[in-house]
Amino acid sequence: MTRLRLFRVKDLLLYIAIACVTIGVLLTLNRTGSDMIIVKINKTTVYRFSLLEEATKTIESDNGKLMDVVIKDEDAYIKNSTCPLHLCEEGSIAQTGALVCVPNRVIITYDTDQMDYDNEDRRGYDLMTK
Amino acid sequence: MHETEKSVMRDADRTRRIVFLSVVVVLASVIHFFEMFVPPLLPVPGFKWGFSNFVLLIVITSRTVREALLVAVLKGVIGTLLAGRFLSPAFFLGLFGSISSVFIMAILMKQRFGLIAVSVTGAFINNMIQLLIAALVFIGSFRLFHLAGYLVIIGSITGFVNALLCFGGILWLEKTGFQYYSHRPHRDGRN
Repeated sequence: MTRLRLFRVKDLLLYIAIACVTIGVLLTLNRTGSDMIIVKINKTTVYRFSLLEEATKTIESDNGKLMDVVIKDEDAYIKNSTCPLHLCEEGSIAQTGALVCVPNRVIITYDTDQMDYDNEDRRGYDLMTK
Repeated sequence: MHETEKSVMRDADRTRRIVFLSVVVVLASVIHFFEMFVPPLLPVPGFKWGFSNFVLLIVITSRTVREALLVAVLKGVIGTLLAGRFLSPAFFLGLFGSISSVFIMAILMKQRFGLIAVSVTGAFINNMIQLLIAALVFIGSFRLFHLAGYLVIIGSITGFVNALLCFGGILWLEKTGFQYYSHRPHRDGRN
């Protein structure tokens, strides 16, 4: 029977390994993205914006205004959403790859790296393979 | 006489196993349940702190890996069922994440690593697997890994706390005198 210890010397190996892996992942991430983002409401593409022009776009549907999309520094995030929890307003598309508002059924993704099941046009997963 | 004693032992073991696993599964499920309603710190699908995993660690260090896997699956199923999130993306992410975590932690415990490092590594694997599946299946982009750094930090905190909770839990269990561990000669992790 071995004793249940909280810390042993070999633990450092694990900590170093974890640190290396995370640093490796963060360095390997592709910095460049697509310049265009698509806004889909209820699975149909409704808007297409360029990330290069800084602006605040309003997303509307038949039910009225749903949210704003702020485009700044080649990045975009959701603001002033009409959903109850505002979970979609967390983070930006450069961080998460997609902005999703479930109650409003809005999905915002980059133009090139989305999987279009409806059109049978699989353009590929991500930008790292290019 | 000898045979009767042996069969009595086995029934007692079985009863202890049912009792222990039931309590443990309920505890893990409830913690999992409440964790789902805490507002997410990061915009990651299925974000959770992960404190329900210290229960898995207790089972890994004192009983079999098979039982730990059972607890992992059950806590995910029951927890999400109660929360109305059964079969949601978060359910699958949590399921695969915790199963992978159990395997890794079991191996590490067998290799005699310290509890804190095992727990932190388990949390790390849990998070990475969830990121991987979320990026591949749900989002379709690896950009999600930009959040990997923050996740590792949060995961380390959770892992550290979980190790302490496990250790405290084992101490408490020992004090009760209840024979919660399996009947194996080697009591190191795999058990």
